[in-house]
Amino acid sequence: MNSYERVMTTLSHRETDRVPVFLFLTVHGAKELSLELKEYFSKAEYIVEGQLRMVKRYGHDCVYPFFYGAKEFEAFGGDVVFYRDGPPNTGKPLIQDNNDIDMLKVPRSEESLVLREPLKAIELLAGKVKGQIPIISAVIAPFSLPAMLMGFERWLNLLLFGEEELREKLLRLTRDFCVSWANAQLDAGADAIGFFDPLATSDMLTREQFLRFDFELARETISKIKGPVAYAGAGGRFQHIIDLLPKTGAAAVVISSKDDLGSVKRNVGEKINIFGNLNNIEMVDWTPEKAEEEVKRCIEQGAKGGGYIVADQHGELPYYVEDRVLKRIVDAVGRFGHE
Amino acid sequence: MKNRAENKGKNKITELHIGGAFMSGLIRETEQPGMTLETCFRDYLQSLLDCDPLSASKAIDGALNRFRPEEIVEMIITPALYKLGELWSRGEAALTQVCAAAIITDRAMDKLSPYIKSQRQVRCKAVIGSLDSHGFGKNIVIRFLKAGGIEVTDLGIGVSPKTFVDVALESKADVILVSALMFHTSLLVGEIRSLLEKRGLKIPLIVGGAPFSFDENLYRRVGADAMCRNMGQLVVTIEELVEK
Repeated sequence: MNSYERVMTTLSHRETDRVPVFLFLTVHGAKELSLELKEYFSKAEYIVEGQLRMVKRYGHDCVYPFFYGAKEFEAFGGDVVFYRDGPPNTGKPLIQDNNDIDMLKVPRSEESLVLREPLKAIELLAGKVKGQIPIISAVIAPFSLPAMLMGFERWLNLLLFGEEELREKLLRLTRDFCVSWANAQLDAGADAIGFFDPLATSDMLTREQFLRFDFELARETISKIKGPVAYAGAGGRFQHIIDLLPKTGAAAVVISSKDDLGSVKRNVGEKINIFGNLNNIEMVDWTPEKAEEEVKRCIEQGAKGGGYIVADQHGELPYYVEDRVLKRIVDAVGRFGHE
Repeated sequence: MKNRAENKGKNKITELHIGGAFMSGLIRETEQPGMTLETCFRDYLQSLLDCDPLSASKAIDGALNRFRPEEIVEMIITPALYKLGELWSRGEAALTQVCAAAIITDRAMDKLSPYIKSQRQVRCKAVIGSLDSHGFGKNIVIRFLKAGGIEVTDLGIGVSPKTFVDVALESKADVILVSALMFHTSLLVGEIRSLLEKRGLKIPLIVGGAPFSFDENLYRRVGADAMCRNMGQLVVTIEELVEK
């Protein structure tokens, strides 16, 4: 059974040879290729080489040609700030006041120069591993993207106290872009899309607010994405809306280390696949023994009956997570993950 | 720290943020039919939880008919903000509610400030900044601190470790507050600590933000003195560290 078959079998809640494991390695490839991160992210070929080397080194069950979260902001015309040892961050928000929403130029996924390299990376990987290793990519959910475009505070101000018409207009723009960007990646060869909606997590939004502002938007968006979607909170908790997530049409949810995996499994494990629960921040300081202990716990709590993939909570492993820890995570899955 | 001895035991945020117990003491002092500081506090807190500026405005207007503006700030607005911060850190409130509270409270303070005759005493001075591009949490903290009588110099976002130290020195700050939302930027706190040590400065360093809440030992590893999850905890920690 190859990784692709293993993952697809697990996602249909059937038995596999072992529990799958995803290492969401966005920056480790640069280290492997001895490149500065800015250079690494400048060419699809680097990303592809980095992903192939990572999967060869660790033997996990996906390639992850996702560049970085701020890529979409960049595609809208924003500047990003690069760091030596972590993913870039958004620069000055594009929308400085609500009038700027009218001026916003929505990028066309297939034509955008900024999005060209990520699409090329997917295409190149598809040429090499399609059908053998799942190709996972990601989009920012339409409800969360405005926080990047206009800054968190300004977006919440518009959301809670601003004009409904303007808010709806912005959300239509981000929804249409999200659908187009997700489908472009699927057309290029991605097998599944992480749908990053950190603003939907309980740290950010109440259940009532999720139902009022985001649920229908997410459901409509996901219905238009032509492939499986994993709802992701970038580390935030979903337990307040976990029963609603299967109704959005998402095939999977990436849960926080602060979520109770056992409880999520019991409550919605038959309706939605579960990824995650490993703490990517603490992981920087883990020993291999700690990594093994955590993987064992996740498998015990989440893997019974299929529908669970060992992964970190965020969809991005910090630069400083050690090689020996990553190796032990995959080794531990091999040791404890036989169903 | 200015006037600390005078403030001690008189107007401590630690007492205010206890909420219920302290408020019940107030009721005995100020109870009047239909409206007490406690009922105003509860109405105001509820309006924050509901993200409802109209109810909040109504609560403040009602309170203005009966209480001094200074009392409204000290006994209604500030404890409501601290209570909300506490609920958020326990996962019982969402950041949207905290954000709405900050915006609503700005409006309430605009309404009250013309009536407040004397300036509140400055309890201590802080410099605050974000190591990355995320300034939202920092901006909320600033509002809470100001309401708690702490003078704040806001360094903005994307602040370098050197700037933190330079400005803290220039402004004679009692404490440095550092926000980081990304793991790799949280590591820059170590550089602030090194710079402080090189210059022989013993200014307390308090951190906050997502990486620190996901790894409770991270603040120690990067050389901070404390990590805070909510406003009440932050003000108490500032007092403790500054008093040392």
